[in-house]
Amino acid sequence: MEDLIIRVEQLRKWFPAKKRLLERGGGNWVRAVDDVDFNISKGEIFGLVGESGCGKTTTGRLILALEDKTGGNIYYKNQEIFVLKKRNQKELRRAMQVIFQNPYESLESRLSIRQLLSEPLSVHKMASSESEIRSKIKGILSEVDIAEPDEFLEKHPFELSGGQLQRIAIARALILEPDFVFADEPVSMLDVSIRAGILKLLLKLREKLGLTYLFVTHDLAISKFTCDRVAVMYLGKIVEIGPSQEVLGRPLHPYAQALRTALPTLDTDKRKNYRQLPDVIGGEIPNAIDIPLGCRFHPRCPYATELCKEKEPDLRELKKRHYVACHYAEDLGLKH
Amino acid sequence: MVVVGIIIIVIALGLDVYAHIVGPDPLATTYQGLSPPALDHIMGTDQLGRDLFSRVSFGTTFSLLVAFISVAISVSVGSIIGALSGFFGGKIDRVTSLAFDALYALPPLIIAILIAAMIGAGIVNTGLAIAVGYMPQYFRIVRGIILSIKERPFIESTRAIGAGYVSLIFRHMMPYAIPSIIALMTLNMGSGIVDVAGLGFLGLGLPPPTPEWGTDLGRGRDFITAGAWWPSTFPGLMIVISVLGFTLVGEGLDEIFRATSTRKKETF
Amino acid sequence: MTDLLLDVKDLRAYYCLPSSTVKAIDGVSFGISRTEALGIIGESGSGKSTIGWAILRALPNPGKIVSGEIRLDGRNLLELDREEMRKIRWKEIAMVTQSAMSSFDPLMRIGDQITEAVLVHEDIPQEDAIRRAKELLEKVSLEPSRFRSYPHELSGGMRQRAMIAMALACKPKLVIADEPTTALDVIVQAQILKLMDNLKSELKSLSIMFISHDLSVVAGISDKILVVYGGKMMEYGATNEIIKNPLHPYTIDFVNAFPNIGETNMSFESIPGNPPDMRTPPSGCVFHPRCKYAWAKCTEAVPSWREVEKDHFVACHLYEVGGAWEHGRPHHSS
Repeated sequence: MEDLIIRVEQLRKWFPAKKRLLERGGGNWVRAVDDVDFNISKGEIFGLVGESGCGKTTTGRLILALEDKTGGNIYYKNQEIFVLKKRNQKELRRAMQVIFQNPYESLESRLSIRQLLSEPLSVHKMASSESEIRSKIKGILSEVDIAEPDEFLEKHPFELSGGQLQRIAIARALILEPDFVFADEPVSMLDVSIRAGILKLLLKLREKLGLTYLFVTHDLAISKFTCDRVAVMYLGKIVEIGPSQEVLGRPLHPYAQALRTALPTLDTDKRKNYRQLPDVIGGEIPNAIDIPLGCRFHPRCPYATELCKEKEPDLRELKKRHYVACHYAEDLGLKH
Repeated sequence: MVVVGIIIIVIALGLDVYAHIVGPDPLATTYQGLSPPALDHIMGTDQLGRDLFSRVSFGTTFSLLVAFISVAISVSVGSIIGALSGFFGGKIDRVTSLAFDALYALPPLIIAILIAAMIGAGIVNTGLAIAVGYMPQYFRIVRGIILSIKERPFIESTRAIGAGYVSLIFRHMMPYAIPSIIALMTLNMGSGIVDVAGLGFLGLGLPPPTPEWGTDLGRGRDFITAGAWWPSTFPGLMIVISVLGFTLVGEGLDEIFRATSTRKKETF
Repeated sequence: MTDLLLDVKDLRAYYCLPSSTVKAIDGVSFGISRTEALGIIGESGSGKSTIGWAILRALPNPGKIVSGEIRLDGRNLLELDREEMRKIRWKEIAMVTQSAMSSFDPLMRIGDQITEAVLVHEDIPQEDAIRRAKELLEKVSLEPSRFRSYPHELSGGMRQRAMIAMALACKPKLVIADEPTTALDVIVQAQILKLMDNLKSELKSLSIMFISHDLSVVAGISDKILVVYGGKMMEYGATNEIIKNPLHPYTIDFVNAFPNIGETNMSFESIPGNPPDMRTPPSGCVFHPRCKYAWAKCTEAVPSWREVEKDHFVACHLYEVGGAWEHGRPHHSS
């Protein structure tokens, strides 16, 4: 019996679009997240992948209650988040934490590492004495593989390297012993040679501390390495969702396939993969205000038909736990 | 600059203390009305024969005290409302901004006069009357800083940790406003002194026979044509010097704060 | 020695700050042949971007070229005066950067800017310049209507295309591209790389210097790769050689730091430690603190640049006399 930590149903986040003078028509909306459904089981690392503007980061922020949703429901351990927030916001914050993309911006440079790590403890009254605080801090620093914690405690963020600082950011999120962590592009701003270490750390911590992750990134390879299951998003909707090996290894949706083809690789034979992208795919993502009718991807899809222009496809289960939102997914699947 | 300013202020306070310990009672009238500066009365006497030097020195206490009270009130009220208004935004913010903008349009002294006329004389009352005119400045600065920091990632990260509003505003955002506030406070001490004197000059503010620079200066005007220049001049001089002292400190601090904040940006 | 378009010899460029001197590039030598694409790979502190700016003699303020030669078609650019160098810039060497917003005047339509770039360097009538600008926009797959667009009206990908058009305006011999696709989404990036690859084959006389931290992007477009670290060269060779047969420990680790999505069991590793603080670089070989194979000599002496295999150069003590790999790198599975 699966233990679902997070359940997202028909989640929606629409921003009102500023109307320009003389624009006709009713209120325009930026449909950043547009009816998204998925579940995350305990201990799972669930990924949201996509290009900019697809809604992956906004979805994460909605789940963490950093922003208010426009519609739909989010359940944490079977309780609605909005209700939980009203009842006991602090507890919610303790149980659900965030790791942001840029540690130099998300960690206040005025504070020392010690202050940054002790603040969560004092906010949640998780340590009563100086020595307890110190031991918890040292404990979490050793969990994130910082070898000599004493050297770091009095330093400030700008004195540390990117990799070290991101470990501190992870420590700060985990010192509260949360159940669920939202990692928003945790390695995108780090040097390439540092990334593997941080990702492996996150995997190790999942095992050791029993964490569940929502992992948002634009990098397919990193997503495939880190995540158990993945959802590919496009213009606010999930177009394909399933085990990461399947979805990113052998994608079925035309957009996911295009992402995979476009991905630069060191594989000798595939190095000029980009030449294989059909021209119609183009490059530009349409404006989230002007979402195409029918299937959102149809203007760029090499396989689009009349049906695609009229009817928006639903997510259908094609293989075991692997869903695709495309009218022709089975036929396209045969190609692989 | 700061050092010079501080020295001036210390000297003025020193004179005050000296006068309290040694000098004659500033309220004591003698029959040597309007005598010019001489050895027994260094600054001369006023029309009621009171020693001007001791009046002027004692006056330091009152001027500085009232100015200090006014700054204290305006800083606390202005900053806190500015912080809350900026942080919460929305309708409350719009209303308070409108109110303070209206207040900001009037010169602080006029506001002080109006309020002093309504609530009457006294140290605290005068301090309050003057404070109101300066509140908008603190409101604006603090609100501006809060607004600029509010959306920064580290604030959101602190919110995600679970920090409450109080902690966010006072521990994480206000510290960034402190350098500007301090510089403004010292400058406003100077303005406050002038305003106290102004009120005194007009007969509002501290009640007679309190030795107050403005009041004495005002009273002294009547005797200038008679050749007695000292009852007005010395109080006036003290006003100028003390304001200069505070202005120097204020501008000096401002420079120092500007220099340290630009130095922090030298990282690459 | 073949006739190189660009021949850089022992280039050193330092940033002189009040507190310290940063030796951004400290002895870099390489060449680019005509119609060749060279990829320069490096991470933070490697100095890769400095190389591009130095060649254009456009280093930002405390930066100075301290010594070395930069020969374009035989002429040493460092010996030219300002006016002569100005003529070289854009006409013979052009640059494409990460952010088009810094290259374009936000108040001028892009068609006009490209036209202007042409007119500055060539003495041709205005109609011809306008026609050339329109042809260029077409070549980079921008619609002709975009001639009249302002930079902020274009999306990120379109702006990069416009920047490429601008760079090609005066038919340069060399285009230096510094992280041109880093800020773009995956699919747009692929389209831009396709464009650059096409241009390279179409324009018979174009050489490209592609600077990036992303080895997989560089590999898709370059013929040769130069690996830099801490301001120094680590390795140079043909793209396939560098990727399939890396010789320098840094390159070996760096190639392994890129996850291969094609593998079922993806294996990738970090390099322990951190990129060097260029204010106080390590002694001897700049990579030694992070090198698995470092031995005594590595902390003392800077390794020399040697051709270890045919057309494959490395700076590493392992390949020198007395080094563990003196007779070749031990057999490894690729």
